[in-house]
Amino acid sequence: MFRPRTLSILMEELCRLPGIGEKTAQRLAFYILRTPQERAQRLAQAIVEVKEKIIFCSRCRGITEADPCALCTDASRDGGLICVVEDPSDVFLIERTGVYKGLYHVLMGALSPLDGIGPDQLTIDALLARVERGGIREIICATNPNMEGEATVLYLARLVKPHGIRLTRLAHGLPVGGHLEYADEITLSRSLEGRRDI
Amino acid sequence: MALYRSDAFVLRTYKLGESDQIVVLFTRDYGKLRVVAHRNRRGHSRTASYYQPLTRLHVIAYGRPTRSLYQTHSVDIAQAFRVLHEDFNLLSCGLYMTELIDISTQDRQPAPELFALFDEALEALAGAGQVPKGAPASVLTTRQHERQRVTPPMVLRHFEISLLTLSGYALQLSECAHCGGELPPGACGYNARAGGLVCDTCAATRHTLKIGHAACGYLRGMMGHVPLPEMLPDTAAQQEMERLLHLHLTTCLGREIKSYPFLYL
Repeated sequence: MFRPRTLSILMEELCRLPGIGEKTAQRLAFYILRTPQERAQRLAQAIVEVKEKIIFCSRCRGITEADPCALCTDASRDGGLICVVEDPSDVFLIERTGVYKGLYHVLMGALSPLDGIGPDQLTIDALLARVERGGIREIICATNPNMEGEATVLYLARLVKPHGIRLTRLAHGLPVGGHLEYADEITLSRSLEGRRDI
Repeated sequence: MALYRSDAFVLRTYKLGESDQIVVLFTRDYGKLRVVAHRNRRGHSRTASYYQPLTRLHVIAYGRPTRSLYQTHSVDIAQAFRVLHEDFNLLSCGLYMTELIDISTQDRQPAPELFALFDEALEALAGAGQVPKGAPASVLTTRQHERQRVTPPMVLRHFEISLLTLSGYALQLSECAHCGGELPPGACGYNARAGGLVCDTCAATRHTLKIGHAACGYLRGMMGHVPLPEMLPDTAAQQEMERLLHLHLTTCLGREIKSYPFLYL
Protein backbone atom coordinates (compact mmCIF):
# COMPACT_ATOMS: atom_id res chain seq x y z
CA MET A 1 0.00 0.00 0.00
CA PHE A 2 1.35 3.46 -0.91
CA ARG A 3 1.98 5.64 2.11
CA PRO A 4 4.56 8.41 2.61
CA ARG A 5 7.59 7.06 4.49
CA THR A 6 7.33 9.58 7.37
CA LEU A 7 3.66 8.74 7.93
CA SER A 8 4.47 5.01 7.98
CA ILE A 9 7.19 5.59 10.58
CA LEU A 10 4.77 7.58 12.77
CA MET A 11 2.13 4.87 12.47
CA GLU A 12 4.64 2.15 13.33
CA GLU A 13 5.69 4.04 16.44
CA LEU A 14 2.09 4.68 17.49
CA CYS A 15 1.31 0.99 16.97
CA ARG A 16 3.85 0.18 19.70
CA LEU A 17 1.72 1.97 22.30
CA PRO A 18 -0.55 -0.24 24.44
CA GLY A 19 -4.07 -0.63 23.11
CA ILE A 20 -3.25 0.96 19.74
CA GLY A 21 -3.82 -1.14 16.67
CA GLU A 22 -3.13 -0.33 13.03
CA LYS A 23 -6.46 1.45 12.42
CA THR A 24 -6.23 3.60 15.54
CA ALA A 25 -2.60 4.38 14.71
CA GLN A 26 -3.69 5.57 11.26
CA ARG A 27 -6.46 7.71 12.76
CA LEU A 28 -4.01 9.28 15.26
CA ALA A 29 -1.36 9.80 12.59
CA PHE A 30 -3.81 11.67 10.34
CA TYR A 31 -5.02 13.70 13.32
CA ILE A 32 -1.42 14.72 14.04
CA LEU A 33 -0.99 15.54 10.35
CA ARG A 34 -4.00 17.84 10.39
CA THR A 35 -3.18 19.49 13.68
CA PRO A 36 -1.40 22.90 13.73
CA GLN A 37 2.40 22.85 13.66
CA GLU A 38 2.87 24.26 17.17
CA ARG A 39 0.50 21.73 18.77
CA ALA A 40 2.32 18.84 17.10
CA GLN A 41 5.60 20.26 18.32
CA ARG A 42 4.26 20.56 21.87
CA LEU A 43 3.32 16.87 21.75
CA ALA A 44 6.77 15.90 20.46
CA GLN A 45 8.45 18.13 23.03
CA ALA A 46 6.34 16.64 25.85
CA ILE A 47 7.42 13.13 24.86
CA VAL A 48 11.08 14.12 24.74
CA GLU A 49 10.92 15.99 28.05
CA VAL A 50 9.15 13.22 29.92
CA LYS A 51 11.96 10.86 28.89
CA GLU A 52 14.68 13.36 29.77
CA LYS A 53 13.39 14.80 33.02
CA ILE A 54 11.51 12.02 34.78
CA ILE A 55 13.68 10.06 37.20
CA PHE A 56 13.02 7.61 40.00
CA CYS A 57 12.95 8.99 43.54
CA SER A 58 15.86 7.58 45.54
CA ARG A 59 13.61 7.11 48.61
CA CYS A 60 10.30 5.72 47.36
CA ARG A 61 11.28 4.75 43.75
CA GLY A 62 8.27 6.65 42.46
CA ILE A 63 8.59 8.89 39.41
CA THR A 64 9.60 12.50 39.92
CA GLU A 65 11.42 15.43 38.32
CA ALA A 66 13.37 16.27 41.48
CA ASP A 67 15.00 13.82 43.86
CA PRO A 68 13.61 13.23 46.48
CA CYS A 69 10.06 13.52 45.19
CA ALA A 70 7.43 15.98 46.43
CA LEU A 71 5.58 13.23 48.30
CA CYS A 72 8.68 12.17 50.25
CA THR A 73 9.57 15.75 51.22
CA ASP A 74 6.04 16.83 52.15
CA ALA A 75 6.24 17.50 55.91
CA SER A 76 2.46 17.30 56.27
CA ARG A 77 2.42 13.61 55.32
CA ASP A 78 2.59 10.85 57.93
CA GLY A 79 6.18 9.52 57.83
CA GLY A 80 5.31 6.48 59.95
CA LEU A 81 3.03 5.03 57.30
CA ILE A 82 4.29 3.47 54.05
CA CYS A 83 2.04 2.18 51.29
CA VAL A 84 3.81 -0.45 49.17
CA VAL A 85 2.67 -0.58 45.52
CA GLU A 86 3.83 -2.54 42.50
CA ASP A 87 4.12 0.22 39.87
CA PRO A 88 4.70 3.99 39.90
CA SER A 89 1.27 4.46 38.29
CA ASP A 90 -0.37 2.89 41.39
CA VAL A 91 0.84 5.87 43.46
CA PHE A 92 -1.34 8.20 41.39
CA LEU A 93 -4.33 5.84 41.69
CA ILE A 94 -4.12 5.92 45.48
CA GLU A 95 -3.46 9.66 45.55
CA ARG A 96 -6.63 10.18 43.52
CA THR A 97 -8.66 8.77 46.42
CA GLY A 98 -7.51 11.70 48.59
CA VAL A 99 -7.78 9.47 51.65
CA TYR A 100 -4.19 8.32 52.15
CA LYS A 101 -1.77 10.76 53.77
CA GLY A 102 1.33 8.61 54.29
CA LEU A 103 4.40 7.85 52.18
CA TYR A 104 4.88 5.32 49.39
CA HIS A 105 7.31 2.65 48.28
CA VAL A 106 7.24 1.35 44.70
CA LEU A 107 8.45 -2.25 44.30
CA MET A 108 8.78 -2.05 40.51
CA GLY A 109 6.83 -5.28 40.06
CA ALA A 110 5.81 -8.27 42.13
CA LEU A 111 7.34 -11.61 43.03
CA SER A 112 6.44 -14.21 40.43
CA PRO A 113 7.80 -17.70 41.04
CA LEU A 114 6.39 -18.98 37.74
CA ASP A 115 8.17 -16.23 35.78
CA GLY A 116 11.34 -16.38 37.87
CA ILE A 117 10.96 -12.80 39.16
CA GLY A 118 12.63 -12.83 42.55
CA PRO A 119 13.29 -10.28 45.33
CA ASP A 120 16.56 -9.20 43.67
CA GLN A 121 14.60 -7.78 40.72
CA LEU A 122 12.41 -5.65 43.00
CA THR A 123 13.20 -2.78 45.37
CA ILE A 124 12.61 -4.87 48.50
CA ASP A 125 16.15 -4.14 49.78
CA ALA A 126 15.45 -0.40 49.63
CA LEU A 127 12.20 -0.93 51.57
CA LEU A 128 14.05 -2.90 54.24
CA ALA A 129 16.65 -0.15 54.46
CA ARG A 130 13.83 2.35 55.14
CA VAL A 131 12.43 0.01 57.79
CA GLU A 132 15.84 -0.35 59.46
CA ARG A 133 16.29 3.41 59.59
CA GLY A 134 13.30 3.41 61.96
CA GLY A 135 10.28 5.64 62.47
CA ILE A 136 7.86 3.40 60.55
CA ARG A 137 4.90 2.00 62.46
CA GLU A 138 2.78 0.52 59.65
CA ILE A 139 3.28 -0.79 56.12
CA ILE A 140 0.20 -1.11 53.92
CA CYS A 141 0.59 -3.64 51.08
CA ALA A 142 -1.37 -2.38 48.08
CA THR A 143 -0.27 -5.09 45.65
CA ASN A 144 -2.65 -6.59 43.10
CA PRO A 145 -5.03 -9.23 44.50
CA ASN A 146 -3.58 -12.08 42.45
CA MET A 147 -1.03 -14.84 42.97
CA GLU A 148 1.97 -12.54 42.39
CA GLY A 149 0.58 -9.93 44.77
CA GLU A 150 -0.11 -12.55 47.42
CA ALA A 151 3.39 -14.02 47.11
CA THR A 152 4.88 -10.53 47.52
CA VAL A 153 2.80 -9.77 50.61
CA LEU A 154 3.68 -13.10 52.25
CA TYR A 155 7.36 -12.56 51.53
CA LEU A 156 7.26 -8.99 52.89
CA ALA A 157 5.49 -10.24 56.02
CA ARG A 158 8.37 -12.61 56.66
CA LEU A 159 10.91 -9.77 56.39
CA VAL A 160 9.01 -6.97 58.12
CA LYS A 161 7.27 -8.73 61.02
CA PRO A 162 10.52 -9.32 63.00
CA HIS A 163 10.95 -5.53 63.15
CA GLY A 164 7.71 -5.27 65.11
CA ILE A 165 6.02 -3.18 62.43
CA ARG A 166 2.31 -3.53 61.72
CA LEU A 167 1.78 -4.97 58.24
CA THR A 168 -1.64 -4.64 56.62
CA ARG A 169 -3.04 -5.18 53.15
CA LEU A 170 -5.90 -3.69 51.20
CA ALA A 171 -9.27 -5.29 51.90
CA HIS A 172 -10.77 -7.77 49.44
CA GLY A 173 -14.43 -7.28 48.88
CA LEU A 174 -17.45 -6.27 46.89
CA PRO A 175 -17.22 -3.34 44.47
CA VAL A 176 -19.26 -0.27 45.39
CA GLY A 177 -22.40 -0.16 43.26
CA GLY A 178 -22.17 -3.88 42.44
CA HIS A 179 -24.70 -6.63 43.08
CA LEU A 180 -24.25 -9.50 45.50
CA GLU A 181 -25.60 -12.03 42.99
CA TYR A 182 -22.73 -11.33 40.61
CA ALA A 183 -20.02 -11.75 43.24
CA ASP A 184 -17.85 -14.85 43.00
CA GLU A 185 -17.41 -17.24 45.95
CA ILE A 186 -13.84 -16.23 46.77
CA THR A 187 -14.55 -12.49 46.84
CA LEU A 188 -17.73 -13.06 48.83
CA SER A 189 -15.97 -15.27 51.40
CA ARG A 190 -13.20 -12.70 51.81
CA SER A 191 -15.80 -9.95 52.16
CA LEU A 192 -17.40 -11.90 54.97
CA GLU A 193 -14.03 -12.43 56.66
CA GLY A 194 -13.24 -8.74 56.36
CA ARG A 195 -16.63 -7.48 57.55
CA ARG A 196 -16.59 -4.50 59.90
CA ASP A 197 -18.74 -3.03 62.64
CA ILE A 198 -21.18 -0.26 61.75
CA MET B 1 -17.04 -27.31 17.35
CA ALA B 2 -16.16 -29.58 20.28
CA LEU B 3 -17.23 -29.33 23.91
CA TYR B 4 -14.71 -30.06 26.67
CA ARG B 5 -16.15 -30.71 30.14
CA SER B 6 -13.61 -31.58 32.80
CA ASP B 7 -12.01 -30.76 36.14
CA ALA B 8 -8.95 -28.60 35.65
CA PHE B 9 -6.11 -26.93 37.47
CA VAL B 10 -4.98 -23.45 36.56
CA LEU B 11 -1.30 -23.67 35.63
CA ARG B 12 -0.65 -20.08 34.66
CA THR B 13 -2.04 -17.03 32.90
CA TYR B 14 -0.73 -14.72 30.17
CA LYS B 15 -1.86 -11.21 29.35
CA LEU B 16 -3.83 -10.87 26.13
CA GLY B 17 -4.46 -7.36 24.90
CA GLU B 18 -5.71 -4.71 27.30
CA SER B 19 -7.98 -6.68 29.58
CA ASP B 20 -8.08 -10.33 28.47
CA GLN B 21 -6.03 -13.31 29.59
CA ILE B 22 -4.96 -16.63 28.19
CA VAL B 23 -5.39 -19.22 30.94
CA VAL B 24 -3.44 -22.46 30.72
CA LEU B 25 -5.58 -25.21 32.22
CA PHE B 26 -4.47 -28.75 33.02
CA THR B 27 -7.63 -30.79 32.56
CA ARG B 28 -8.15 -34.32 33.79
CA ASP B 29 -9.59 -35.61 30.52
CA TYR B 30 -8.00 -33.53 27.76
CA GLY B 31 -4.56 -32.58 29.06
CA LYS B 32 -3.44 -28.99 28.78
CA LEU B 33 -5.94 -26.55 27.23
CA ARG B 34 -5.51 -22.82 26.66
CA VAL B 35 -8.67 -20.80 27.09
CA VAL B 36 -9.33 -17.11 26.61
CA ALA B 37 -10.76 -15.33 29.65
CA HIS B 38 -12.36 -12.15 28.32
CA ARG B 39 -12.13 -8.96 30.41
CA ASN B 40 -10.52 -10.96 33.19
CA ARG B 41 -8.07 -8.27 34.22
CA ARG B 42 -10.81 -5.76 34.94
CA GLY B 43 -11.98 -5.27 38.51
CA HIS B 44 -15.56 -6.35 37.94
CA SER B 45 -14.79 -9.68 36.27
CA ARG B 46 -16.66 -12.51 38.00
CA THR B 47 -14.13 -15.16 36.97
CA ALA B 48 -10.89 -13.27 37.71
CA SER B 49 -10.58 -14.90 41.12
CA TYR B 50 -11.15 -18.35 39.61
CA TYR B 51 -8.20 -18.23 37.24
CA GLN B 52 -5.45 -18.24 39.84
CA PRO B 53 -2.82 -20.99 40.08
CA LEU B 54 -3.43 -23.64 42.76
CA THR B 55 -7.17 -23.66 42.09
CA ARG B 56 -9.17 -26.65 40.89
CA LEU B 57 -12.10 -25.78 38.64
CA HIS B 58 -15.03 -27.40 36.88
CA VAL B 59 -14.70 -26.08 33.35
CA ILE B 60 -16.80 -26.36 30.22
CA ALA B 61 -14.81 -25.08 27.26
CA TYR B 62 -15.54 -25.20 23.55
CA GLY B 63 -13.74 -24.60 20.32
CA ARG B 64 -12.53 -26.21 17.15
CA PRO B 65 -10.18 -29.13 17.87
CA THR B 66 -7.73 -27.79 15.28
CA ARG B 67 -7.35 -24.45 17.08
CA SER B 68 -5.00 -23.81 19.98
CA LEU B 69 -7.26 -21.40 21.92
CA TYR B 70 -10.66 -22.26 23.35
CA GLN B 71 -13.54 -20.31 24.83
CA THR B 72 -15.09 -21.05 28.21
CA HIS B 73 -18.80 -21.71 28.45
CA SER B 74 -18.87 -21.95 32.22
CA VAL B 75 -16.41 -22.21 35.09
CA ASP B 76 -16.88 -22.97 38.79
CA ILE B 77 -14.49 -23.51 41.65
CA ALA B 78 -14.13 -27.10 42.82
CA GLN B 79 -11.40 -26.40 45.39
CA ALA B 80 -9.47 -23.21 46.11
CA PHE B 81 -6.67 -24.61 48.37
CA ARG B 82 -6.82 -21.38 50.36
CA VAL B 83 -4.34 -22.60 52.97
CA LEU B 84 -1.67 -22.64 50.26
CA HIS B 85 -2.28 -18.94 49.60
CA GLU B 86 -1.73 -17.98 53.22
CA ASP B 87 1.83 -19.20 53.80
CA PHE B 88 4.84 -18.29 51.68
CA ASN B 89 6.49 -21.72 52.04
CA LEU B 90 3.36 -23.59 51.02
CA LEU B 91 2.69 -21.17 48.17
CA SER B 92 6.24 -21.63 46.85
CA CYS B 93 5.93 -25.42 47.08
CA GLY B 94 2.57 -25.36 45.30
CA LEU B 95 3.85 -23.12 42.51
CA TYR B 96 6.96 -25.29 42.14
CA MET B 97 4.73 -28.33 41.57
CA THR B 98 2.56 -26.27 39.20
CA GLU B 99 5.59 -25.37 37.11
CA LEU B 100 6.78 -28.99 37.03
CA ILE B 101 3.34 -30.08 35.77
CA ASP B 102 3.39 -27.29 33.17
CA ILE B 103 6.80 -28.38 31.87
CA SER B 104 5.98 -32.10 31.85
CA THR B 105 2.66 -31.94 30.00
CA GLN B 106 1.73 -31.18 26.42
CA ASP B 107 -1.30 -29.41 24.97
CA ARG B 108 -4.25 -31.77 24.41
CA GLN B 109 -2.33 -34.85 25.58
CA PRO B 110 -4.47 -36.41 28.34
CA ALA B 111 -2.49 -37.38 31.45
CA PRO B 112 -5.06 -38.45 34.08
CA GLU B 113 -2.39 -40.08 36.26
CA LEU B 114 -0.47 -36.81 36.46
CA PHE B 115 -3.72 -34.99 37.22
CA ALA B 116 -4.44 -37.38 40.09
CA LEU B 117 -0.86 -37.05 41.36
CA PHE B 118 -1.05 -33.24 41.29
CA ASP B 119 -4.41 -33.28 43.05
CA GLU B 120 -3.14 -35.63 45.78
CA ALA B 121 0.08 -33.66 46.21
CA LEU B 122 -1.81 -30.37 46.63
CA GLU B 123 -4.15 -32.04 49.14
CA ALA B 124 -1.14 -33.36 51.04
CA LEU B 125 0.57 -29.96 50.91
CA ALA B 126 -2.58 -28.25 52.18
CA GLY B 127 -2.71 -30.91 54.89
CA ALA B 128 0.94 -30.25 55.74
CA GLY B 129 -0.03 -26.70 56.57
CA GLN B 130 -2.62 -28.02 59.00
CA VAL B 131 -0.85 -31.03 60.56
CA PRO B 132 -1.46 -29.93 64.17
CA LYS B 133 -5.21 -29.83 63.53
CA GLY B 134 -5.21 -33.33 61.96
CA ALA B 135 -4.23 -33.57 58.36
CA PRO B 136 -6.60 -35.30 55.91
CA ALA B 137 -5.37 -38.71 54.78
CA SER B 138 -4.41 -38.91 51.14
CA VAL B 139 -2.90 -41.50 48.86
CA LEU B 140 0.51 -40.09 49.76
CA THR B 141 -0.17 -40.63 53.44
CA THR B 142 -2.60 -43.48 53.76
CA ARG B 143 -1.38 -44.92 57.06
CA GLN B 144 -1.84 -43.12 60.36
CA HIS B 145 1.82 -43.41 61.37
CA GLU B 146 2.86 -41.89 58.05
CA ARG B 147 1.29 -38.56 58.90
CA GLN B 148 4.56 -37.53 60.45
CA ARG B 149 6.02 -37.67 56.93
CA VAL B 150 3.67 -35.00 55.63
CA THR B 151 6.11 -32.12 55.71
CA PRO B 152 6.21 -29.81 52.69
CA PRO B 153 9.72 -30.95 51.60
CA MET B 154 8.74 -34.62 51.79
CA VAL B 155 5.52 -33.95 49.84
CA LEU B 156 7.73 -32.38 47.16
CA ARG B 157 10.11 -35.37 47.13
CA HIS B 158 7.19 -37.81 46.74
CA PHE B 159 5.74 -35.63 44.00
CA GLU B 160 9.06 -35.35 42.13
CA ILE B 161 9.68 -39.11 42.23
CA SER B 162 6.14 -39.93 41.11
CA LEU B 163 6.23 -37.29 38.37
CA LEU B 164 9.54 -38.63 37.04
CA THR B 165 8.21 -42.19 37.08
CA LEU B 166 4.95 -41.26 35.32
CA SER B 167 6.87 -39.21 32.72
CA GLY B 168 9.17 -42.12 31.92
CA TYR B 169 12.25 -40.73 33.66
CA ALA B 170 12.26 -42.98 36.74
CA LEU B 171 15.47 -43.01 38.76
CA GLN B 172 17.53 -46.17 38.43
CA LEU B 173 18.19 -47.17 42.04
CA SER B 174 18.23 -50.98 42.05
CA GLU B 175 21.29 -51.58 39.89
CA CYS B 176 24.10 -49.55 38.33
CA ALA B 177 22.45 -47.15 35.87
CA HIS B 178 25.49 -47.39 33.57
CA CYS B 179 26.72 -51.01 33.51
CA GLY B 180 23.79 -52.82 35.18
CA GLY B 181 26.12 -54.23 37.83
CA GLU B 182 25.48 -54.54 41.53
CA LEU B 183 25.44 -51.37 43.62
CA PRO B 184 27.56 -51.09 46.80
CA PRO B 185 25.55 -51.62 50.01
CA GLY B 186 26.36 -48.23 51.58
CA ALA B 187 26.73 -44.80 50.02
CA CYS B 188 26.50 -44.55 46.21
CA GLY B 189 27.26 -42.02 43.51
CA TYR B 190 24.51 -40.54 41.33
CA ASN B 191 25.32 -39.76 37.71
CA ALA B 192 22.87 -37.50 35.88
CA ARG B 193 23.71 -38.73 32.38
CA ALA B 194 23.29 -42.37 33.41
CA GLY B 195 19.99 -41.48 35.11
CA GLY B 196 20.58 -43.12 38.46
CA LEU B 197 23.01 -44.56 40.97
CA VAL B 198 26.23 -46.04 39.62
CA CYS B 199 28.62 -48.64 41.00
CA ASP B 200 32.07 -47.77 42.35
CA THR B 201 33.78 -48.88 39.13
CA CYS B 202 31.62 -46.63 36.91
CA ALA B 203 31.76 -43.80 39.48
CA ALA B 204 35.56 -43.76 39.28
CA THR B 205 35.46 -42.43 35.71
CA ARG B 206 32.37 -40.20 35.95
CA HIS B 207 31.24 -37.06 37.73
CA THR B 208 28.92 -38.21 40.48
CA LEU B 209 26.95 -36.75 43.35
CA LYS B 210 27.64 -38.67 46.57
CA ILE B 211 24.45 -40.03 48.15
CA GLY B 212 24.52 -41.50 51.65
CA HIS B 213 23.08 -44.83 52.74
CA ALA B 214 20.04 -43.28 54.50
CA ALA B 215 19.06 -41.19 51.48
CA CYS B 216 19.49 -44.16 49.11
CA GLY B 217 17.33 -46.33 51.40
CA TYR B 218 14.57 -43.75 51.66
CA LEU B 219 14.56 -43.08 47.90
CA ARG B 220 14.23 -46.82 47.25
CA GLY B 221 11.37 -46.88 49.76
CA MET B 222 9.60 -44.00 48.03
CA MET B 223 9.90 -45.78 44.70
CA GLY B 224 8.44 -48.95 46.24
CA HIS B 225 11.57 -51.10 45.86
CA VAL B 226 11.73 -51.70 49.63
CA PRO B 227 9.36 -50.91 52.51
CA LEU B 228 9.45 -47.21 53.39
CA PRO B 229 11.51 -46.65 56.59
CA GLU B 230 9.42 -45.84 59.66
CA MET B 231 11.28 -42.64 60.47
CA LEU B 232 11.95 -39.61 58.31
CA PRO B 233 15.57 -39.34 57.13
CA ASP B 234 17.70 -36.75 58.93
CA THR B 235 18.23 -33.26 57.52
CA ALA B 236 21.49 -34.16 55.75
CA ALA B 237 19.86 -37.13 54.01
CA GLN B 238 16.84 -34.99 53.03
CA GLN B 239 19.20 -32.43 51.48
CA GLU B 240 20.98 -35.19 49.52
CA MET B 241 17.64 -36.46 48.21
CA GLU B 242 16.61 -32.93 47.27
CA ARG B 243 19.89 -32.25 45.40
CA LEU B 244 19.73 -35.58 43.55
CA LEU B 245 16.12 -35.12 42.47
CA HIS B 246 16.69 -31.52 41.38
CA LEU B 247 19.67 -32.57 39.28
CA HIS B 248 17.71 -35.46 37.79
CA LEU B 249 14.70 -33.25 37.02
CA THR B 250 16.71 -30.50 35.34
CA THR B 251 18.64 -33.08 33.31
CA CYS B 252 15.49 -34.93 32.19
CA LEU B 253 13.35 -31.83 31.57
CA GLY B 254 16.23 -30.02 29.87
CA ARG B 255 15.75 -26.67 31.60
CA GLU B 256 16.02 -24.90 34.92
CA ILE B 257 12.91 -24.65 37.07
CA LYS B 258 12.19 -20.95 37.62
CA SER B 259 10.29 -21.39 40.86
CA TYR B 260 12.95 -23.62 42.45
CA PRO B 261 14.93 -20.76 44.13
CA PHE B 262 11.72 -19.61 45.86
CA LEU B 263 11.72 -22.80 47.93
CA TYR B 264 14.76 -21.42 49.76
CA LEU B 265 13.81 -17.75 50.18
